[in-house]
Amino acid sequence: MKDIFLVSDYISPYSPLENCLNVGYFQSYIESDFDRTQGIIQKLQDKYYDPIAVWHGQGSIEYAMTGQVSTYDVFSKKHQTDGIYLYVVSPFGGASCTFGLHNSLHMHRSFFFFIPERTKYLIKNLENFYLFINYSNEGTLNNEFFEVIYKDACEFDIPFEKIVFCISDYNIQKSFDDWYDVYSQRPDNQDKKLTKIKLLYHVWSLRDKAREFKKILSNERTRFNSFSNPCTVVSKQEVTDKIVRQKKFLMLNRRMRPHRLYSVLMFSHLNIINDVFVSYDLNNMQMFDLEERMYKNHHLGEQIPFSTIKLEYDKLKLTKPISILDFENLEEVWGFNFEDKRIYLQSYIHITSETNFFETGGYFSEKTWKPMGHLQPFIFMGPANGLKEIRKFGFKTFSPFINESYDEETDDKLRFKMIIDEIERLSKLSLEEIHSWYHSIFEDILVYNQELFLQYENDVLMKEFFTKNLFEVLNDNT
Amino acid sequence: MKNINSLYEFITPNGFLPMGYEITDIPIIFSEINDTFAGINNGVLRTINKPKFRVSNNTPDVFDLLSEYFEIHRKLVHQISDDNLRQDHNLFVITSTNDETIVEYVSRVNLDNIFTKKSFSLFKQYDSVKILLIDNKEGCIEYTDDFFGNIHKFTHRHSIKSNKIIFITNTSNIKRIYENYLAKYDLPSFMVCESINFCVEGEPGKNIVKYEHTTNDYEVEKIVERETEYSLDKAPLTHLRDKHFLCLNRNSGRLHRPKLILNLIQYNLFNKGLVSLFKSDAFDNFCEEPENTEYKLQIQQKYPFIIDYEDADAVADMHNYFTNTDMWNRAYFSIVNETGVSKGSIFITEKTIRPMIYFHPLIVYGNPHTLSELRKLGFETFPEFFDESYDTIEDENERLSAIVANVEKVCSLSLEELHVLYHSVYPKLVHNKNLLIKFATDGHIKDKFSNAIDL
Repeated sequence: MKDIFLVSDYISPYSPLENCLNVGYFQSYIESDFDRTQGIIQKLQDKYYDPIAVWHGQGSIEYAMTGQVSTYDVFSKKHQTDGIYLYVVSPFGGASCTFGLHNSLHMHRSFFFFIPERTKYLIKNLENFYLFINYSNEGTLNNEFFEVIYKDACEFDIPFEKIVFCISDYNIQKSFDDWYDVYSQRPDNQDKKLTKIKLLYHVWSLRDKAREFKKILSNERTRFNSFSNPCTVVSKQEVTDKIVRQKKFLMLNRRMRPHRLYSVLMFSHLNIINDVFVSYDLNNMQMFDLEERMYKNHHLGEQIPFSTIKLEYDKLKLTKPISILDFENLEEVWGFNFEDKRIYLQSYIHITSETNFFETGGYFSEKTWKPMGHLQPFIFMGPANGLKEIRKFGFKTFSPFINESYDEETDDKLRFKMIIDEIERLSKLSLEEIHSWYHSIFEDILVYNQELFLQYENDVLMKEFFTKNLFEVLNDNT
Repeated sequence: MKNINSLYEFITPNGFLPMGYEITDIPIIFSEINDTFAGINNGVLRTINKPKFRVSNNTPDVFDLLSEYFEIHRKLVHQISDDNLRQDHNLFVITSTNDETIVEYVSRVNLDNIFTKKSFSLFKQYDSVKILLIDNKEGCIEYTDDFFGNIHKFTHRHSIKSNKIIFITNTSNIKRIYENYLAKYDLPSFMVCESINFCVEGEPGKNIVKYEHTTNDYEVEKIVERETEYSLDKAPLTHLRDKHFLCLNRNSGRLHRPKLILNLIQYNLFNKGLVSLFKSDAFDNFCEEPENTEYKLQIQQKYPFIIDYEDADAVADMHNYFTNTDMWNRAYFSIVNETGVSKGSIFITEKTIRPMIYFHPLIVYGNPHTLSELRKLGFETFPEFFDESYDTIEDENERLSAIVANVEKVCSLSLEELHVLYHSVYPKLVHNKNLLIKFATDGHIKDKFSNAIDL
C-alpha cells in the first residue's frame, strides 16, 4: 500500500496553516501569534461574522496519512516518493464561503483563488499530487459546489481528474452523475473537454464515535467542545433477560427535521407513541416547522392528509410539547459526550433518525453508531441503502425479524411509509415477544456489532478503509 | 563540533521565508508568494512600510557564504526539538539585501516586531538561540547611533545577554566603530561585532582555486561564462607594457570616481593609463549643475570610457573578480577607485582585490586607513611606488590630491624605469595573490565566524 502525505503550503512556528486561507484573515492570526490555542477562529468569527472558509483540522482523514510535508519540499523534490500527495482543502461548516457562494471576506471568490502558483503547478504536473476537497465532515451536498469546482478548475486550468471531492455521502456517485449529465450537456459546456472529477465516500463518524464509546467503557472522561458530561454506555454484562424493558422503541430527536417531526406525529396518530421512548421539543423546532407546502413536497399527503397531521401536531403541542429522556436542554445536546445508557436499558429497538432522509446525502452521522454501541437493534430512518452501506463495514442487521426491505426503496415517501408501517407492525408485538427476540440475537448480532464497532476506534482499521477506497478512486480512469 | 541550525519561522510554497520581515507584513508577503511562481529570492517583499524592496537573488544566502565551512541545517521553529535547543547552535539569520544594508534595516525596524512570540521566547529562554545579522553586501556605510541604539534598547528592554546578538559585516574596522559608540555613551558591551570581509577573505581565493581547477592550472587560456570571457594568466614579466596604470570605474554614479578621473585629465595623466567609466543617470544629473561644467566638458561629453566589457553588469553579476587579462598586462599598476571614500568605516571590495589577482601594485582612493587594514590582514603594500602617507589623510579631497600627486610622480617615470620598478616588487605581488588563496583554504573565515558565534 502506498504512503499518503498531507501537503501544506505554509507552516508556522506552531503548526501547518490551513491551505487556501484568505490572507485577509491573517490579522487575527498575527494577533494570536499563529497559535490556534489562542482562539484564532473565535476572533475571526467575531470579526467577520462569517463561518471560516477553510479549516485546519483533518481529523476525519489524518489517521490515513503517513506524514505531513510542505509544498516547497515536494516542489523542490526534497520530498520525493511514489506515494500520494494530497493537497487538502477543508470546508468544514463554512462550505458556502469556501466555494465563494457567500458574500464574505472572500468577495465571492472560491478557495481556488487562494491556491499558490507553485501548488497549482504541482497539481497540474505532478502525477501523484491531487487537490483533495475534504468535505468528509458533512454529508449534505449542494450541487452549486460542483458548479464552482468546474468553473474555477477551468479558469485556473486545473485538470478535473486531479481533483478529489471527499464527502460523507454514500450516494455521492449517483448524485454527481445526475448533476454531471445535465451540466456537461449545457450548450456553454459542450465545447469544453469536461471529464469527471474523482469522488470519494468517507465516513468520519465511525472512528470518532467508537473512540468515544471505548473511552466511556474504560471509565475515561470524554470531552466535546466545552462539554464534559459523565457518560455511560451499555455493557454486555449488564444486559439481563430477567428484566423486561419498559418500551419497545427508542428515538432521539434534537433538531426537528421533517422526517423526525412526521414520525413523532405519525406515532401519535397511530397511537403507538407510548411504545416509544422519544425525545423532541416542539417549542424549539429549529430548521423546520410544520408547513403544508413542505408536507406536500414530501408527498406524504397520499398516506395521511395534512389536516390529520396538523391536528396531531396541535394536540401534541398542547398536551406534551416537550419530551425529555436523557438530557434536559436539547439545545445543549451534541452528538458527542452525551451518552446515557439508562434509556437504552429501558427500550429494545432503536429508531435511528439520521440527519438526512428526504435530502439526497447518504450521510452517517454519529447517530448511526449509537445503537451498535449500546447493544440495540435498529431501524434506519435515513436515505435509501443505509443498511446496505452499514453491512459493508461488517455489521449485521435484523432481517427477517425486522422487514428491512424499506432500505432498498429509493422513493422517499414510500420508504418513509414502509418504515412507519414496520414500526407499527412491531408495535403490535408484545414486550415479551420483542424481549425474547432481543435476547435471541444478543450474542450473535448485538454483542458482535458492539465489539466490531469498538474495533473501529483503531486508526489502522480506518486507514485501511480510507486508503483502499482512495486508491480505487484514483486508479479509476473511467 | 556542534550542529548549526539556521532557524526560520515559516516555510512557504516558495521556500523558507528569510528572517527579517515584520510580522505585520505577513499577509502581504504571503499574498505575494501565492502569486509568485519563482523562488523566494526572486521577489518576496520584506517590508511594505518603507520603500519597497525585494530580497534579490543577487544577495548571497548565508548558506552560500558559510556552508563551505560548516554543516548548516535549515530548521523550522515548528520542528525544533529540545535536543536541538540544548545541543546545537540555533541562529535566526538576517542578511542584508541589494537594497538595504543591515544598518539601514536595524535603524528602520523595531526588533520587537520581527519575531512571533514563540520564536522570541525561544531566543530569550535558550542560550543556544541567537540572532545573527550579516551585512555581506555593503560595508562602506555610516554607522548611525540609531543602529547601535536600537540594538542596545532591544537588549536592554528584554535583558538579553551580550553574546546573543552577533553582527558580522564587511566593514573592516567595525570593532573600533562599536567601541567608539560604547565609549561615547559609556555603555557596557551588548552585542558581538565581527568583521569578516567576504570580498577579501573568502570569495577571491575561492574563485582562484576554482579557476585553477577548471583550467587545469592555466592550461586552458580562457573561460567563457554566461557569454562573458575571462582569463587568469600568470603575469608575463618580459615584455614592456604600453601604459603606466589601469583605472577601472564601472559606476560613475559614485561621484568620487569621475572626480578622480577629472584630476587625471587635468594633470595630463589620463592618457598614461587605461581608464574606464560607465554612464549613469546620477553623474549625468550631476553634470547639469552649473558648477560642474568641467565634468560635463571633460568627461560626460566623451564617456563612456570602455576598456574591456561593454556590459559591466554581466561581469558584476557573475562573480566580480575576474576579467580579461589583456588590460592588466598592458599596465604596471592600478589606481583603485573604491566604493566609498568617506572616513569612519572601512570597506575593502573586489576593486582592491582584483589588482592583487592580476599582479598589480595599487594605490587606493578609498576610505582612509584602507592600506593599514590590508597590512593587518597580511597584504603587502607598495611604498616603493607611492608615498603611502595618503592613507592616513582623513579629508577625502586632501587624500585625493595626495593620490594624484603620487600618480603624477610615478607617471613621470619612463615605461622602462617602471618596468624595472615593477620587477622589484614582483615577490610582493605573488605574496598577495597567495594570501588570497590561503584565506580560502586555511579556514580563515571559519575561525572568525566560530569566534563570533562562540562555537
